Parts: sequence; structure tokens; C-alpha cells
Amino acid sequence: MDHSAYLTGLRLIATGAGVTVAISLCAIAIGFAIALPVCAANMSGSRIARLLGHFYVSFFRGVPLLVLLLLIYYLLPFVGLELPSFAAAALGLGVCTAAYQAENLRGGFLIIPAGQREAALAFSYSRYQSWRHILLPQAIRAAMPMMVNEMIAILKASSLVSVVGVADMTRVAQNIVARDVQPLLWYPAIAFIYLAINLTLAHFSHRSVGRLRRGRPEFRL
Amino acid sequence: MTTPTSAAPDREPLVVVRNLSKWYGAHQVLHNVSMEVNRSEVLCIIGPSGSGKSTLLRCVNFLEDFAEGEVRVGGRLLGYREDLKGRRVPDSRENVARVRRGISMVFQQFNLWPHLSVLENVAQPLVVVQRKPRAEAEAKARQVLDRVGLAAKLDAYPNQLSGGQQQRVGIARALAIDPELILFDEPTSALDPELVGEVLQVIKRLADDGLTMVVVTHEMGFAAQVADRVIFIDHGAIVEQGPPQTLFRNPGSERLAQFLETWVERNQIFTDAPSVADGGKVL
Repeated sequence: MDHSAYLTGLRLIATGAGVTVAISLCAIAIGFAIALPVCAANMSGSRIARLLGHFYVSFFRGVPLLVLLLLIYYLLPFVGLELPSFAAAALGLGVCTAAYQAENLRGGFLIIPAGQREAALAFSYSRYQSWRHILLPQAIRAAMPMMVNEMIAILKASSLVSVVGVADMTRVAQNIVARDVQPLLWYPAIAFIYLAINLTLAHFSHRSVGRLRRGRPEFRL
Repeated sequence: MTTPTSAAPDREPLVVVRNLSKWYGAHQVLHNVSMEVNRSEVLCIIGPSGSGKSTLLRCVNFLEDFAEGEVRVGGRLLGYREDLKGRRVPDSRENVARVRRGISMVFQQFNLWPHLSVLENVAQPLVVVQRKPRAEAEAKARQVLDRVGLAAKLDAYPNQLSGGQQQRVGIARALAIDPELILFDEPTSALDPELVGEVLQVIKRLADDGLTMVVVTHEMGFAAQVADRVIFIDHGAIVEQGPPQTLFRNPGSERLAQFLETWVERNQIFTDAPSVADGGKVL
């Protein structure tokens, strides 16, 4: 194997890493967009809404992600929805992480003292204004450490998307190894890249959490 | 400060509470309470713990609902309306907000918003609810924060302040909306004893400025100095009311006499042992 083969391998891995990051970011965004209404449903006064929210969380937490990805990829075409594999994979990861994010958010809302909502009410905030300006910012701050955990979990779980034909970093590495048979080179390499991405993610989240946590005492044991 | 203007003549009470009763389950916490708050009046509500005085205060801006009776603010019904058949039904949140707009509140636990700076805590209701431009809201916030002596703390967050400072931010937030009435729910009960003074001082200054306020308090000395009228509540009913001099000197009921007795006893140490009370001065 000459130098150019290594270079080609590296280039492929880099593309795969890009796919991994892109798909994870899409999944996290989709997840958050779904998590907000699911969380609202779970905390709503309506019994039916709570039931639906509960069902969503139980279902997507209960079914293995791998099975979920296969379900979405192979079942959706039956109901006339043909998704490209990237979209199917992002959707699969997204609906799954939404269930966890919704629960994290709910935890964030639950620790807000009643006096916070009451002060907003006493100053004539509407329900939406109180939610938007007083409750949600505090819930997100409180849930942020859990959210970062969830982002890292989703980034790692994205290595499963190859089953629906997405060429993410893990899949690319498998392909290279299948051709060049150098597992001891390429697998440690991608392990290192996953680690580096997650450390970067954790670093930036930590900084943004620090900014978000302005005005809250640092909790240390 | 700006004087609140209103279409209603000044003689008419700002708040009228009529025959208000409230239950928590089977337990009745307010019994047929009627009272009025006049413009520019400082009304103190005193009574034992659990007597219902905070609950009554919270009914006046409808943080608590009530089963019977009515509250009128500036002549308008608060919290309930009559439907076409004349039945009493809960009013919409928007209408409640409209009627209560001239009332602001200072809470026992401050209830400042921890994710906002001192300046934002005071300015945000002006921006969000009154839809004022941010610059104007912040100018107003600076002005009221200056009035409570916190001009130097604009960028601090609530958790960086002492309890007394936090409560003064709470008072500034209540002032900023140019209220016709401020409700104080035991404003010094959560404070360390040495911080009580600075907060009472601020409230006293507001009273001198002619603000209308209702103060639920355990600070008898403060009530005696500041109140135009004192209401004594026990077991959810108004037992007696009147000017503080009359009420504190000649309680008309056994229950008030007893209540004042416990307070005097608690403070006995200061009158019996001047060397302790005067502290450093004697030494």
C-alpha cells in the first residue's frame, strides 16, 4: 500500500466524519423541535395530550435505535414516503433523541419554583410571555448538562446509520478495512476522531452552559 | 414620581373587597371578609401565622381564586364576571390581567428571576407587558433602582445580592410599572434580622411619597409607624381595624390583646435589660 492509498483513506474518513457530524446536528435539531411540543404535552392540563406525550416518550425510549432506523427506512416507503437514506437516518435519530430531550426539559421545568411563574402572573405576563421569557430559559439552563449528555450519546449512536446505507465515518472505515485489511490502523483512527468531536462538543457546551448559567450558583460537591 | 391618574374620583376606594370567602377543600380560610383600600392609604394587615392574611392579600390581585364574594379594583370586577344568565364565571386571563394592571406585588421570597440581571428584572415587565422600547424601559428601571439605593448593582444577578438587596430589587420591579397600588406579602419575613431595617426604610419612604399600599407584616413597630390603618385578622376573619394608635394602645378584642401580648413579650428583653438592648452604647 502506497502513500496515495493512505491519503485516499484519510480523505474518505474526513468525508465520513462530515456526514457523522451533519447527521448528528440534524438529528439534535429535529429532536429539539419535537421535544418542545412533546414536553408541553406531557405537562399539559389535558389528559389526552399527556397520554399522547407519554406514549411518544415510552415508545421511542423503548424501541432499540437500530430497529427504529430499519423501521423508518423500510416502512415509510410502504405509506408512500420515500426518504433518501440521509434524511431517514436523521429522522430516526431525531425522533429517538426527542424522547430523551423532552424528559430532560420536563425535569428542567419541574425544578422551577412556583414563585417564578407567580411573579410573572402578578406582573400580567400572558401564558405565552411567561413561558417564553421566564420559564423556558430557566428550564433550558437547568436541563443543559443532561442535554449535552444526550448530544454526545446521539453522536455516538449515529454510527448505527450505516444500516440504512448512509456512508458515515464508521461505514467508511469498514469499507476501507474491507479493501485494505488494516483494522488496527483505521478503527483506532476513527475512535480517536469520535473522541475528538465529542470533546470539542463538550467543551463548547460547557462554555455556553457557563454563559447560560449566569446568575446561578455553581453547584459543587 | 408620577402620580397615577384615574377616571374614578379620589374619594372612591381603589380596592373594594366584599364578603369574600375561600376554602381549601373543607377548610375555610377566609370568612366573609370585607375591606376597602383608599387611594394614598397605607394599610397594614397583621395577625397570627395561618390567619389568612397572606391569602387575603393574594386574592386582591387574584393570585388566589375565591369561592364567594367579589373584589373590585377601580370599580371593575377582578377574577370573575357574570355570564349572560347572571352566573358567576371565571374571567379570562387577559381580562384579569387588564383589571390588575395597576397593581404590583412584592413577595416574601422575592421571586426575582434568577436568569436576568437586576436591570433586566426591573425592565423586562415594561418591555414584555407594556411594550415599551427597551431604552425607555431601561431608563425607567435605572431610575427606580436608584430610588431603592441599588444604582450600583444594575449588572449583578440576584444570587450575588444579599437578601435585603434582593428585596429592594423586588420593590424596584414593583415600582417600575407605575402602579396605583403595591401589595407587600410579608416583605421582611425571609430576611436575616440585620437586613430587615434597610427594606423597611425603603417601604417607609414610599409611604411618605403617598403611594397606596397594603402590607402584610409581622413588624408591629413598622405598622405602628407607617400605617394609616391596621387590620387585625384571626382565623380568616377581620377581628378589628382602625388607626394604629387606637389598635395598639387599646385593643378592642381579647384576641388582639393576646396577639399583641406575645409580641410585647418577645421584645421584653429590650425594655427589661437596657444594657443588652443598647449594646455597645452602654459599654
